[in-house]
Amino acid sequence: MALIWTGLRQAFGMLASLDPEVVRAALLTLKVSGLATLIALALGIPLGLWLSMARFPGRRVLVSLINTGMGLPPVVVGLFVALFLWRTGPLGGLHLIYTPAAMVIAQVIIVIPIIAGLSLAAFQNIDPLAVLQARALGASNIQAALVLFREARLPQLAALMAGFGGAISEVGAVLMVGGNIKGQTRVLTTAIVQETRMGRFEVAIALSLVLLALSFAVNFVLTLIQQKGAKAWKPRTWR
Amino acid sequence: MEAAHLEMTGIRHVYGPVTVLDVPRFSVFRGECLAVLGPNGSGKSTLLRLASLQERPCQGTISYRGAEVGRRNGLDVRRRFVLLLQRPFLFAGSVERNILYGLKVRKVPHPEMTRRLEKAVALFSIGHLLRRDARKLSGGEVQRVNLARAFVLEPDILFLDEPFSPLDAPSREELIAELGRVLRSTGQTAVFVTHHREEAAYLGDRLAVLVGGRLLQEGRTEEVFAAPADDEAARLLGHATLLKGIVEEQRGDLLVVVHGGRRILAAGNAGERAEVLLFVRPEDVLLARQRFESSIRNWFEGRVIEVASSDRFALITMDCGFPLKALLTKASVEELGIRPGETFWAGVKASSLRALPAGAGRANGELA
Repeated sequence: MALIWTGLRQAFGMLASLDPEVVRAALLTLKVSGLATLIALALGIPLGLWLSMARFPGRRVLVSLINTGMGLPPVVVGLFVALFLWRTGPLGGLHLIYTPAAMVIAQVIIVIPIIAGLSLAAFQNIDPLAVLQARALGASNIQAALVLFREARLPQLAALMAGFGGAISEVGAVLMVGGNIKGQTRVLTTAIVQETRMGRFEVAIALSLVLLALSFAVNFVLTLIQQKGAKAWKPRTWR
Repeated sequence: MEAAHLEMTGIRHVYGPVTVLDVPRFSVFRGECLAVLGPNGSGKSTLLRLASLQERPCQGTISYRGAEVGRRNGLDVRRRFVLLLQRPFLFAGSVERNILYGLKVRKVPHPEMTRRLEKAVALFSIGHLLRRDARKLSGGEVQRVNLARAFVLEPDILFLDEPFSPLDAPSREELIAELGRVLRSTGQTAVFVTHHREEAAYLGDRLAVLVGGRLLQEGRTEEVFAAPADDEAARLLGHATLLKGIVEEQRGDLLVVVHGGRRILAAGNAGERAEVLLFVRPEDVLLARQRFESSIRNWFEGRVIEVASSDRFALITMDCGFPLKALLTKASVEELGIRPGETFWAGVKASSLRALPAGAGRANGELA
């Protein structure tokens, strides 16, 4: 118990003094996971939209694969990305292994299925009439598809939150392809693992608090956007 | 006759193994309101979706102002039309956003957008709704916004697919009247699909009767109502009593028809010994305790089987050797003391009893 209290006290001290190591890890975390989420969003939402509208043989298999991918073990992704980016691997010439870029690639692969799967579900939940209505008012096929995009914007924000959550909390893949190099590829999760292993619990606690705070802040902003307009109106009911 | 605005030729459309539409020719003329009347599943909505270019027919061609519609000009021509769906879908957001949607996809310049918005809003008196959340409107408000959203586009042809069917009767009547007023005041060309003959009669300048994917009849509304092409059209147009007989002789415009040993006078033209169908609208049947001297040429004695009343009217079913339906006001039913089991005389003028050659229709099996 004393260990926890001491750890917490020292952790708040580090946060108050803006410990450069903590700040650096936090900024890199935001950069890597934020960028990975944005890229996954740009690829995952059109993929979900296309899968919700297209009909072709093998579509169900692809959808099942994406749904499986929503629970893709990060270490497996880390392993394959590491194999590809390894100096002797197929993409070794790019010299990306143990760089933040490699970490972004790994996280994009982890997040795409989450965003594609959730937005596919969101698009399929929209009344098919929405597309017919848009066309009836003169929309081209592309304009009509964009209506779906707007109609499903709230569940898509949920997909965004889930995707970002998956990226920022992930440790296995970034550890394997980033290498947890201090000052270069060390993010909050890998730093927490490292500090805990070394018994520097106060640093690990400080880093954990920052990770939680970051995660909360991002989700809070997204939730504000999502819940805008949802009035606190409740019908009077019996029991 | 002026050239058709929109013309469909040789249209056949199938869904899987089922042919849902087989229409050799369907024309819409400028400035008219064409009503398409048909029962559920007759292919009305399909016809409308094809005509409004929402869907491409499996066979046949569509031309607009003399030019055939193809892949190249399809979207441009489609944007001159608007289709009002049976169940309108309002997009998330404000009423204003919904009304402006069609203008935005057409990239109409901003000042023009504002001008059109103001006009459409005034036309349907929905100014107070503009800022409201479109998802929180009442049924009648939804329909008004839906109409405004279509009229704001000033379409060359407005297509309406039973637009008021989800509404209760009073709101529907109110909106039909409003639509009729707007259509007439704006001279809007419109194609209106419905299974309510009253709506078709009220709104249609011309009327097309569609049954089983085929056009049975097309013409000026009052003419089609007065002279249905066959028994199926007759039923759809509200002629409740249909019976089959053999022509004995032609006397001027009238036919003497024998049915069950009884001579009946009916309006129509047919050769001797020809088999004809006779039909009459319930409102053209008169009931009395005793037959009396008048211009009524046909009297049938029968027993009252059923009296079905609504607010003001009662539909009486009689057995006169064949089933005969009469529509009376509730006041006359009470005055005459019409009750099931009692015997009455039903009078039908020869001009109200229309004769058509039998075999033109398909459902002759059910006839008396």
